[in-house]
Amino acid sequence: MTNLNRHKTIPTPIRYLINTGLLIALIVVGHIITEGGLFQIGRAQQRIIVEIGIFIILAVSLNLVTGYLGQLPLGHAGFMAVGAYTAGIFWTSGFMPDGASMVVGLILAGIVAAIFGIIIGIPALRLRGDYLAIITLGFGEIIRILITNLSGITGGAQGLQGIPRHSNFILVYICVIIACTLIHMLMKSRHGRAILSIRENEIAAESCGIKTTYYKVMAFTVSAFLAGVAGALFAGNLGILEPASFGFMQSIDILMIVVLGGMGSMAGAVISAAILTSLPLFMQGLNQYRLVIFALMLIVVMIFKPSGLLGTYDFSLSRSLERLINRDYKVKNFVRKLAIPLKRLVIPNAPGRNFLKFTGILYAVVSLSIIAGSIIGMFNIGPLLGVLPSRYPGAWQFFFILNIITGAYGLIVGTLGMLFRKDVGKAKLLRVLAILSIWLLAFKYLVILDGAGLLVVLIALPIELVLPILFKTGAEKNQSAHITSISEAPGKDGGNHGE
Amino acid sequence: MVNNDPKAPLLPERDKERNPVLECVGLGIDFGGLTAVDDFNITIGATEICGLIGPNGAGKTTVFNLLTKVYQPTRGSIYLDGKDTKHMNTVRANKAGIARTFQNIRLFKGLTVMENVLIGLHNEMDYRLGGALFRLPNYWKAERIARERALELLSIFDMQDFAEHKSGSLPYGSQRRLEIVRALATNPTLLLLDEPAAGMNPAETDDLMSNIKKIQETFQIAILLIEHDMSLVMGVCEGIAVLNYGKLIAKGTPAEIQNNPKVIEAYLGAGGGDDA
Repeated sequence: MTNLNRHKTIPTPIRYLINTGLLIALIVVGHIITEGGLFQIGRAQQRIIVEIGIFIILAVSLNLVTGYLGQLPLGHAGFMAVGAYTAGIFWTSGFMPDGASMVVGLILAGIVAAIFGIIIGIPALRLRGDYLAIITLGFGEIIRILITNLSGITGGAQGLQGIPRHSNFILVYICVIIACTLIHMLMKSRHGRAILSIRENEIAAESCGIKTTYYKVMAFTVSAFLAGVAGALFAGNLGILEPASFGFMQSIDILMIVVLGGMGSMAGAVISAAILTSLPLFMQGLNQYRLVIFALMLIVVMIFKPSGLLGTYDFSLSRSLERLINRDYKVKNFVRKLAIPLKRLVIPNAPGRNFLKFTGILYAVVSLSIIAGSIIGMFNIGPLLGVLPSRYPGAWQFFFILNIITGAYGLIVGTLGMLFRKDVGKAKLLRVLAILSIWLLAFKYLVILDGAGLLVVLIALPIELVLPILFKTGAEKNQSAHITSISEAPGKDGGNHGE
Repeated sequence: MVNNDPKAPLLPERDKERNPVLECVGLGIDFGGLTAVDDFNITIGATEICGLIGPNGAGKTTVFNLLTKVYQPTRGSIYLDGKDTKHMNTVRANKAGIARTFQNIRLFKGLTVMENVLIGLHNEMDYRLGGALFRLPNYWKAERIARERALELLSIFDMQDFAEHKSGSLPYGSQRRLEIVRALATNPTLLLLDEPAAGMNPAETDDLMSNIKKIQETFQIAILLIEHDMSLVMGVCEGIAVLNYGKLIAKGTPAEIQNNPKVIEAYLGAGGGDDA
């Protein structure tokens, strides 16, 4: 109890007030940026921003089932399709005046999808793992085929046309906020804890008096409801619906967002939805390689952070604020940890083999500067989102120079730092090569943005892939052997507590 | 069959006036052709601490699974507070007052200690989905009371300072204790402990022994425990039932059990001359 007393907390009403205020600010700022006319944002960019919102809803709703409930359904696009067509048909029928029709259509889409969720969920959730995946996959396909063949109602393969485009920034992001709040409120209650307990250990959950089937179906239904709403927004964004957009790959895409962001992390789902949905914009020249790049990204994340970008971590503003108020020692430690490798950079003969950290910082500096550069470029010169920089000479130059500077900075600092050290030994040449490759990496990003960088990618990628193998010499080899021996230990330990 | 008569329960003096919390009559279960438990009769008093012992594979955990309705019995019936549990599932059995711990720890390892106990308190909270989503007053009230209660329960084992730790990161002994707290949180009338002292050192076992007595005294509930650590069983149990090959071979007080030839035979093998 003493611990808790020392810890200063923010009163709940103030926490809620801060959050609400920030959300309102987000909506207002977003609206000014997208539709206010202050910035030159094109129709395509607007549509992407709306699409990000839609995929955030889809990702957080799928995350409820995969991340929190711990099941693996592969038919999320099916619920999305049900919602999309329900809303599409309702809106085109002109059953109600426009304003009311929009809201009623959204809710109706969610309800119909939720009913499908209950119908599918009750039998499907008796199964686990692969079987649940297959049965939901089948459901998704059935929905798609039904839509294709019920051409009288749905327009068949030609699609449902002339849907009023209701999905503007405000509507979509209000729905995003409602969806995230709904899931947050659910998860921080006894019902949410019941859902988590099923993920953690179903047998123990039952012995604690939790009706597992009920909560599974509940989570599944809420997830389907939100997917239905997202589907309706999807319909309102495109204005036309065709069954092909709700295929198996759509379900996989949503699942990938969740996996990449970290199963069980709402913040992760939001971030990765934003990244993955906007990625195609930045890779216009590489559109046919989209799937390859997505797959590579997923593999890389799975190798370096198997739990996804954020794992099960969830961002909480009030928690961060409380930490600031209490001046948590962790924050100080974190800053100190960051400072150590920087110190080593400045002091040439600092002890320790810091090459890996050193490269890491370089990567971080380079990529951060690129991000910063694109943000500055966006606000100063014009919308860089999705436009070819070469079409805007000013933007292109600014961008190019900024990246050259950061790249050159990295090169110079890196080379100097390495040369001044005594224990460089045989691998000196390799290290210089590595730094060169980092510089190439920076250059590669630049050229991808220009839309014709495939050649450079092809040159840079092998270098990056081969270098780590070459690097297994001397000191690093010992170090990596040490690392593997450590990482094995928890495995043995875990066996004791296993099922 | 020594003492194997359901009509002759082994109750401590203080429980004789009250209805027994658990009665098993002719309980048995077959897995295919294998009879795992047969003709199991036991009566546990309202505040009795009772032990279930037997060699490995005797069917002790199967009895627990029968009592908590993980398995449905093939024969016989279980009465909990005089109610037949025939049509109950695990959840209903828990609501009716049976809580248990597991031989291989089944905590919610990714969640905090507090969340583990709060999940145990799930059915003690009364707000519904709407109350949670709209943060109605009954949500705040129930959550506050539940958190206070959880800290109170954790303080039995002096674990309240670990409330915000991940339960999977606790030491083994604390994980076992947390499982007991979680089981207690469901407000049981009968607590089943499956090898609570497994993996504990002698000092921890002594602690556990006094804590089991403390739990029985504070909550006035009955406890049935499976344990291989004879010092714990003999030290804490008021009645002991011995199971071998799925059948009860003896029932009695610790002193009686220690001198029972059948029990000695079951544990050490036939060597004496009592085969006649």
